[in-house]
Amino acid sequence: MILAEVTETKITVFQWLVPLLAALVVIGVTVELVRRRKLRDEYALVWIGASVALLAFGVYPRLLLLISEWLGVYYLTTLFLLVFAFLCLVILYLSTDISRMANKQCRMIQKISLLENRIRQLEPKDPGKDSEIESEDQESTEAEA
Amino acid sequence: MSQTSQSSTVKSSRVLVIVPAYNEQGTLSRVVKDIRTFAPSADIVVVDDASTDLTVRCARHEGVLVLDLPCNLGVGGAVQVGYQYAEENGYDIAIQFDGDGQHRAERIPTLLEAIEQGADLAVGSRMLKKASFRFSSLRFMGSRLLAWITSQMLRQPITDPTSGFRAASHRAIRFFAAHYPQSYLADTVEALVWASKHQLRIVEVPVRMRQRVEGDSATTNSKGIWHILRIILAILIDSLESNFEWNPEQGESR
Repeated sequence: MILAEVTETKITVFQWLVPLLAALVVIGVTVELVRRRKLRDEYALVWIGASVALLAFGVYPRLLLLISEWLGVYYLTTLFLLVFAFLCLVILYLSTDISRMANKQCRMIQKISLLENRIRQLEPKDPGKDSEIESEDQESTEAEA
Repeated sequence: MSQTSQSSTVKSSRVLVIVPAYNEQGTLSRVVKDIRTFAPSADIVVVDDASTDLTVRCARHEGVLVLDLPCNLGVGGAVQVGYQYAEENGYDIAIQFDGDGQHRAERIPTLLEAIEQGADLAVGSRMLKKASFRFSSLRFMGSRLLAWITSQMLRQPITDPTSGFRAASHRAIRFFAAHYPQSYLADTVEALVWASKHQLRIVEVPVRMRQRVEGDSATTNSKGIWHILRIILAILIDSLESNFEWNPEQGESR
């Protein structure tokens, strides 16, 4: 019954052209960003996946109508819902990524300071340098003793 | 890294005092002198959290080890690098001691003693005895609430969870070197929760503290209650987290 309604509905140019164009733009921008090495492939995959989904709506516009019928809402609302859900997922993914990076960055900063301290202790005492470094060297010999 | 015996005496233990410092040029030399007076055999490492003043120069002038972080990490990140240094260099006990001058080094021996008696983490508490440290009343109630929630989570009474004056055993050093909370303001309380969840034994030791002499405390009165709410939120989120892979008896934690 619903299916019949959907297949009978006239598809406007807007309804198939917009998703199609959007998909092409997303694919185009993604490929260009990858080419310029501005986007790592893991993210590129997310966006290519999204554009493939868009492409499906462009090729078969009735899909969106069908979802609208199922959800009992308007075509445009369905569109917004889908876009919103997708963006939420992307943002959540990016948040986990930022957390991971913040952890890595913290480890790196800590390691740098530890290594820097070791370099200072290994460097031979140089009287040409300022007095701060001398006092640092005194401390290091103290620590070894 | 060799596992050192827990039953050695205070004198034979190698002790590292970790002093996290952020823009403490005014107080740092006094803090270092204080520590040297009461813990003469301990090594001191000042962790400079990318200060914008002369903290690093000041610390080097005092002749202590300095780990200067190239970017600001917050107290958690600064303290952790101190623990990493302690682990790398085989210290038996590490002490956290704030660079702002509010802690009194005269209590360091008491903290050390608590570790010698088998605790993994000895926390200097301002609340165990008649406190010489005054909070405004709202902040006081907030800190009572926080202490109560922390006690419930740890299943042991904790009177002063935000105290940053602590001593850590070799086991705790290993744990904190690998895992230390990085959250703004909440790191001291979270560290307790994490430590307790990973079978580290926590005890509190009475201490007195000074009001901060210089600099700007992160927990001043007006903002105090919001900070406490933030900390409570942080430890509630913590209770959702799964445990780290950690064997308290083994040498390797990662």
